[in-house]
Amino acid sequence: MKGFFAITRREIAERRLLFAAAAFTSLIPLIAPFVPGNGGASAVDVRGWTALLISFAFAAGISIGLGGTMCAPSIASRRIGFDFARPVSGIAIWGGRMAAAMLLAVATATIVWIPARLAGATLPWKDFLTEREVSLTWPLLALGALVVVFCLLHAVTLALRSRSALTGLDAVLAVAAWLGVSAALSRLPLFMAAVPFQRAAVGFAIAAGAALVAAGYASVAHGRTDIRAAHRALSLVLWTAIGAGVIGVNAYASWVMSAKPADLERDFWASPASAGTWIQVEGWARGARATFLYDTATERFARTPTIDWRGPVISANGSRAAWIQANGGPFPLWTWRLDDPKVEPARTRLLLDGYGSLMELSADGSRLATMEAGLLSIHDLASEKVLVSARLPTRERQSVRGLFIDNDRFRIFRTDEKTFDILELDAPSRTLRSIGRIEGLNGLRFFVADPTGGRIIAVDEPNRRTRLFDGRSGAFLATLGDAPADSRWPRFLSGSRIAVTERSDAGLRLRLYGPDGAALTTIPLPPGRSAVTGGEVAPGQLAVGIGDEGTHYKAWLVDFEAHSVRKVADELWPVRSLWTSPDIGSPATKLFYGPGQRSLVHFDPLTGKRRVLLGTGP
Amino acid sequence: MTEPIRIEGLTVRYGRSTACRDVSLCVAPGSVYALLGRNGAGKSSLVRCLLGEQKPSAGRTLLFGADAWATRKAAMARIGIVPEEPDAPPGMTARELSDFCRRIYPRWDAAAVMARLQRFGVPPKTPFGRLSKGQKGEVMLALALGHAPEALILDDPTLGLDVVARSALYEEIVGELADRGTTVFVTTHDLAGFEGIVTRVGILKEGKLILDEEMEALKARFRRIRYANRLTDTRTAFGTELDAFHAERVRVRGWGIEAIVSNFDDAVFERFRAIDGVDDASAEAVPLEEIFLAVAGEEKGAGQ
Repeated sequence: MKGFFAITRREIAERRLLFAAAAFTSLIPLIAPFVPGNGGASAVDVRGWTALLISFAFAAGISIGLGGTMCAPSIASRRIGFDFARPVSGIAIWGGRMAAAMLLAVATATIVWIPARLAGATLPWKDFLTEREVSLTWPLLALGALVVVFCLLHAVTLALRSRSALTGLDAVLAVAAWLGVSAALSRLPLFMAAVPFQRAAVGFAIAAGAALVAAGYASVAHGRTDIRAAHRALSLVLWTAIGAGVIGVNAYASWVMSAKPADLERDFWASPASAGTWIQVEGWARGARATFLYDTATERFARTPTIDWRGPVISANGSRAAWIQANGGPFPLWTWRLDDPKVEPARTRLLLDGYGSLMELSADGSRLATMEAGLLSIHDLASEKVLVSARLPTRERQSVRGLFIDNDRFRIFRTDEKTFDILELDAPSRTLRSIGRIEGLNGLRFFVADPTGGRIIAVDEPNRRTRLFDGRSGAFLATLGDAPADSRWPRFLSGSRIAVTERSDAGLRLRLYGPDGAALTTIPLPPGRSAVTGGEVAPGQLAVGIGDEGTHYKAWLVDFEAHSVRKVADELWPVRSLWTSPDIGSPATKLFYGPGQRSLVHFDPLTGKRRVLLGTGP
Repeated sequence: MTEPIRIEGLTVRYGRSTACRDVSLCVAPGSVYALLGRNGAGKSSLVRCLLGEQKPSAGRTLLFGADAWATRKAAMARIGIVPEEPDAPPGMTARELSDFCRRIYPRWDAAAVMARLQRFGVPPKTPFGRLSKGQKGEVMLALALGHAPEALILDDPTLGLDVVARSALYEEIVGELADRGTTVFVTTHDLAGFEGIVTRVGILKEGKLILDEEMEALKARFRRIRYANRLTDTRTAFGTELDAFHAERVRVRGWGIEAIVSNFDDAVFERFRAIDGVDDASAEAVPLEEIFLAVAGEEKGAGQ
């Protein structure tokens, strides 16, 4: 260490005039408030910004200037031989110089800052950062950046001064490294892997910075007074380390992106098709939110690189899926024939300008409706063509949902808190027309339509009022509940009946209505905080999840005919989707989330048989 | 006792050109080894390898029995160096340079350094960059001797020095030799200056060590022979009379023939003198410079 400190001290002593320059310059922030043209900023702010700017200029300038002049020219001129002729190690020669540069950068920046601070200036962003960030994180990051800049300038100067063909190779490798890292990092956002992206980017930045420091050391310690040997040592260490970093980042990205449904471990969310065994399932896998199309019967799957709020859609018959690939735009549309095991997902020629505010498949999956920037379109997936597009006038805070009535007609429900318009786009006639309207809504909370579009249930205020309307004209049909209640969750059952779970002072209850909204029966449910309705596992037998005050759910089976409720499982709650009504007894009615939503379980409430499909289940 | 300096099969290449080819030599403790060679002969490359500043393409250099490249730091504590180009941080004064060295050498005699600088007449408070070339060389010599090294390596130390500076340098080296028996390895073009103290000589030519010999033996076998020649019409041509010698260089003068021979022997010379037609033959010792010229110069052989 004697050599390290001796060289550090010597290098600083040689440049001691920088301290005087910093001290002189530190007066500028004090007089800056008196210079006209401050735009009305306070004197404290002007001092702060000016001092910060000059401090940054000193720190950056010294790192850049000394990075380019401290070592490489000494090697080129063999002047560094003065140090190598002493009993001083290579690491002390390199480290001592670098430490001197950093100390000079930090010390001069501090000298500039001190008078302004004494005059009351504070860091302009102090209000936006935590104390730890101000005192530790950002100073360390700034120091790291100064070190990297110093080493980068050393590397560049050395490469240029060596005048060897290796400089050309350096340039090629730099471009290759950039492309290699970009290839990895640009793929991760497509998979919504924000955390892995951050990890990979930060990890590579640290590795590249460390590589630059190590390469600088190698160039001095192994090149000594031979500039070309120094360049060779620098390039060897730098590109070996950077190459390893590029491979590492790509391997990590590939590992993240190659996650399978079996890798899902928490925060499961599933949406089954009305028929068949396919589901859309998402959760956290390998540090990223991952979305899959997954066949619960055969375990076939495809990962869909979609954004979190516009996942893939599955046709009601479970034969076709479609999704919009997340990228920088335009956004390609992908489809997948789910009913043919030999067919792989295919990218269509259809490109969308955005992720769309609406995306629905027709029942047989042959047509797709999308709406983006107010343009409603129906696409024919077989021909990969847009059949019809229409501009839908939009209003603020409106939401649009819709469904195919048949392959040619798409019904749109356009709502805001008080209005509810029903429109229909007809593909053969290429017309968009208003066909109905629901009047008298007050603070609409949500609505749900049955799979045919023939009926609508709207829940609004007051009291979570729940009413049934005609899905075409918007005519009022029946009130499903208007007494005070904390919550009401309606659901169209596949047999056209309607189930509404209700929580009020009277406790949890399940009310059953006929297709026209006529009350059929009310079944008290066991005590609990909330109730979730699943599907009909058998005619007249509905799975219901009831949660307690904590996060635990129990699965119950409600028998409409016997007017009974019985517990069928602990720690399970049914997968539900407001807008789908799984066929009675279909696999979708037997999908449950496991404890803590850490698994997806196939559970038959009638037999009690359960099988963990994904995740770590009970 | 381990030799302070040993070079084994040293080869230094720069791309396609070769600066040193398979050079091997050894410097005994307490000796003064002069490595001679024309410009570009490979001396500086050899010295850089010797100092552990450059990695040999093949072979190795040993300082006190250890590989110079691998154990440079340890060796430098026992070695003093005067480089070909006297160079140090230009903003530092001689006193500051001495202070710097004091922090890194286990034994540093700052007083002795300042005393030497005073003897040389180097201003101690003038930045190194503003000193004359001779003064820079003197600073480097003072720093090289500051830790009482066991060996001195001098790479053409008199290059660019005036007579006074050269003289001061020789005096210091001679003083070191006399006081402590320091081993000295010097590359130089100033053959006359070092002739009196050199104990062994090596000559590099085009990267190859073509001569490596004790100074006494070298001077004993090299002689300048002069004679007038009656065997030819002109008296200034020569024939076979020099065949008994290995003539490194033969020159025709107005008065006769002058030859530098590298295998002089008294008995052979007596027989040479007895040749009928060889008149006024004389033999005299040859200075190192002429030996070098004879061995390393372009002119060679018995051509006219």
